[in-house]
Amino acid sequence: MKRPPLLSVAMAPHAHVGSTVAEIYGHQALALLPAAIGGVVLWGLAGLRVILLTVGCVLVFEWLGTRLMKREGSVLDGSALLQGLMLGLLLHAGTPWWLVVVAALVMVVLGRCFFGGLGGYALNPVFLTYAILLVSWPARLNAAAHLTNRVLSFPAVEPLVAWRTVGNGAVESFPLGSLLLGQQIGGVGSSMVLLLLLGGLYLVLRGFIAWRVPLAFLVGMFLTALVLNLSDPANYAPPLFHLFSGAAMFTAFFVLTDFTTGPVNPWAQVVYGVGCGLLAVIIRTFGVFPDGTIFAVLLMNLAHPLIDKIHSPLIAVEVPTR
Amino acid sequence: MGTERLFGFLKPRIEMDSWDGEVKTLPPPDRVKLPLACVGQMPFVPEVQVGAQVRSGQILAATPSRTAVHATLTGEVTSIGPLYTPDGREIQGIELLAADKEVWVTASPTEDLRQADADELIDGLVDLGFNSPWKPEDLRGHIQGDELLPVTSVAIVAIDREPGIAVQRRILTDFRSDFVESVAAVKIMADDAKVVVVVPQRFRGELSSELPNVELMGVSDDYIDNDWRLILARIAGVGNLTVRAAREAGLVLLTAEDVAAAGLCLKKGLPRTDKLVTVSGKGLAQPVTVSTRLGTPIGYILEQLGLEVGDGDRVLLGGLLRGHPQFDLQAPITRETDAVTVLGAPEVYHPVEEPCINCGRCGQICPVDIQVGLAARYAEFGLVEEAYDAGAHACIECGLCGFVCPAHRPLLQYMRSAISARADAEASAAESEAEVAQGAASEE
Ligand code: SF4
Ligand code: SF4
Repeated sequence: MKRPPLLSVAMAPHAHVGSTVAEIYGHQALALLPAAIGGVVLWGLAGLRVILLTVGCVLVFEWLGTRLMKREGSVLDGSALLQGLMLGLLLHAGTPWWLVVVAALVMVVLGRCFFGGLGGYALNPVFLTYAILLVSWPARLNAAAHLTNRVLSFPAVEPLVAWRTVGNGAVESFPLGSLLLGQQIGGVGSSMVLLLLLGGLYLVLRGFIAWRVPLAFLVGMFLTALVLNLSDPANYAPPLFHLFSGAAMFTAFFVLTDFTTGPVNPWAQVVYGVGCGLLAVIIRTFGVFPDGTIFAVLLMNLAHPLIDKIHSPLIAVEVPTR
Repeated sequence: MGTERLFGFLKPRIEMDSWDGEVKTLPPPDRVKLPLACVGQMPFVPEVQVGAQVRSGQILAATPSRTAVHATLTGEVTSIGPLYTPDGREIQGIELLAADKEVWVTASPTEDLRQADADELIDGLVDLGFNSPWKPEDLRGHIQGDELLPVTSVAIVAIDREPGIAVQRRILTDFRSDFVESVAAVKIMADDAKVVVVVPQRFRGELSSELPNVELMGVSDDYIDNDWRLILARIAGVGNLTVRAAREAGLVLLTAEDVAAAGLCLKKGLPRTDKLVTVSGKGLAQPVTVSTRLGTPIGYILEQLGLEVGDGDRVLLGGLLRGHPQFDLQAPITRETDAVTVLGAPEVYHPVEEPCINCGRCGQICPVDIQVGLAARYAEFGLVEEAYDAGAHACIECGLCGFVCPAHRPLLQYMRSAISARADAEASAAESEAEVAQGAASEE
């Protein structure tokens, strides 16, 4: 007699719409490509070197890390690729090779593995890493100091630094149009405002990121800056200057929208975004570090489980009346 | 099955399908297995022994309250032993081996259903072994303590629970006159209660003249509009309810097939022996709805339809979204089985225990707005109470969360595990409370 077939069993549902984690992170990485290309065009081979070195190191470390943690799959899930690319775009084109290696190591070990890898980290690994570097090697991260030997068509100083040191007078030397085109000192690709915006819109339209978060962040930032600017136009920078300088656009579409460190409920996302925009402008204006966006994000990351308690009520189970 | 629409900007939507085709009646199988227990009811005590010769329609086992399991074949009782329910719980079952010639018990037909009174009809059904998933007595009211709470509404669902199944709605096309007559009988049995017949929207117009005394509810072809529990809730005027709350509120849910079968059985005066099942999947160009004996092994049906099942294939009792996988082709068709779905090895889907990336898609699609990702994470780590509070108690087990999760997490399973863990905890708490009370009583 033929033996009965060995059937496969697993729990319902037995069909899937077809989405994968790799697809989501892959598209997010893809959406960063325009900014990366823009960065390479602006900074040349030096920019390319930083991007490739960061991505390569992150992938290698991630592979080793998952091996050590005996986890499967996570190198291929695209999140390491995405975050490697993000880190690469955030570092400036003159970053020494050893600092890139250290940054990659810090991000993989401290940012990801330490918290249990993908889905586990409480703080955005990219910004956490950048914050650690910023506190440890502030001089090395000073883009303006390391990019002096270049002929530039725009002021050789980070817009936010110029504004913090000189005051509102500096704002005029940065026309919005050139800020938009990424004509500013900063990370290799994190200041390519227009290209990041394009990538972000692509992600929103394809449903790969939640649209409320970037919108709320930009609105929050705009309104806070507007209120400050209106209260004292001589001292506080105009809102669009905030939106177009530093890593604001990068944060809106690529950092804040990280699922693991942000809320999922619609109103919580609005609060999260607006709160972060507000904090970012306040830290930029009154804090020690000119680009306070990073610290604003990390603070909001910590608060996200709390914020996520704002949710629309369940369609409750009720006992009907007779 | 559903796809992500408009570049994924909108939620995926799953539509019920509306294919047709003839209902194929299968020849009786050479053996059947009949469960001796049904959910939430007293187990049946066998009244025959191994080796006994039985006729089709004969009582095999019964409870003290007269509900019974009837033979669906003529033949010999070959064993009384363990059997698995579709979701894998072990119960007792009875196995029959068919004899060459089929002999039926004597029939006691009801002449005219419309002339009978409620008690006559209900007693008639009890005698005919209507016991699962509903008891005809349910139509008399719900017993709570010493009280008999009257029935308020009876919902008759002529819609299927999942895409790819055509059983309940086939009653409207293939057994329309039996159904209409039976609904009238239900109307008599239900007395003053409101009777609501739930049909696909497209049937609503043509049925309104045929079913004048009942309320007709049309539902769209969106999968989630076809959920039976949410339909009961809608009839009761609430958002969502538990099965127990529904019963206490005097709601009764009957499937169109059960209703039609009840009428037919009363007319013929013979117990119910048949079940409609939609078979779909690997090797079939189009799904087929077959009529077969209760207790027929899945394997027999597949063989009759020429479906080959090999290693690594998956066979489900139920549809793609809610179905229970089976490890044994000998598993029988029961009154609750509406579909057998076969997936070839290359198309089987394997959920994995990967971490949640917190993308929120599960919560977005959940029809009762559960924070599924959160609840599932709690359940995953055994935090049953937290999972419950995050909404697991409201889960209608539709399977949509698992259908969209990009991390391929077994979300429905996590919800089910929280629900059953909580039920177990409640049961054992009630038990120990009873023990304490007993101890206190004996001390006095
Ligand atoms: S199965 Fe999932 S989507 Fe459906 S009700 Fe339950 S938690 Fe919500
Ligand atoms: S869909 Fe999956 S990955 Fe996304 S939040 Fe829900 S459980 Fe997590």
